Amino acid sequence: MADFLAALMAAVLGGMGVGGGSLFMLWLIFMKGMEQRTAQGINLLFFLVSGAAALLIHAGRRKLPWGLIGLLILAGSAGALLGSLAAGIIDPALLRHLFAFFLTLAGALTLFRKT
Amino acid sequence: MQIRSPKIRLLVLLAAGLGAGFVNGFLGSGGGILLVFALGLAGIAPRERFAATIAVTLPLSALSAFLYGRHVDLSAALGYLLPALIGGCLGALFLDKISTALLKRIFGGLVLIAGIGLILR
Repeated sequence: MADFLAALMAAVLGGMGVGGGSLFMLWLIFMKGMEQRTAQGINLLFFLVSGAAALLIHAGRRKLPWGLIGLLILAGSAGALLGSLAAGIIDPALLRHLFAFFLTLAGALTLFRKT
Repeated sequence: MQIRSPKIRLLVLLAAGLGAGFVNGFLGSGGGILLVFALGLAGIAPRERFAATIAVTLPLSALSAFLYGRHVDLSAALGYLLPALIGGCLGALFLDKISTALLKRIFGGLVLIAGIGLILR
């Protein structure tokens, strides 16, 4: 039951587009005892389903910049190719640390900003 | 903070798209976060920002799943199919019910958690 609710919450957050994957990963790894690799795979598949369901609804309810989205998918695909190639060459720790720093800072600023 | 020049805006967006894909390809996930910030800089409205990011990351994630997803125990994933479907639909419907201020804070909190999780990894 808790498992269902945890997954449901992750899907709701993902459906809103605000994330949730990291929370789901924590659940899968620490509460379900999964290995990181497995959890990552499950998280990925999970998002494919929840995201697709959400997107169908979003597309019907709001005006999305589809031209821009298409461009970003192209750019993203190129980037993904470069990234996976680079992963075999560059030490992942450096980018991981940089990105972790950026996320923590950006996340904190966004969460605690005065509106 | 928003970028006014349309050319610079486009350049930033393309760079962000490239970067988001790169991060996903390199680390496995996280690129969508970059995208949300970039779309914000480009002046896209908050709810459209989040929805558009799903639209971009979905095919990219599908690509990842195809390339790397072969060693996943599918039986475990199958158990999550129902909450994924229900939650995804609910989330899309909730987007309009939650204030943009709260949405941004939730997003910020999740980004923070992602960052801390990455530090601890």
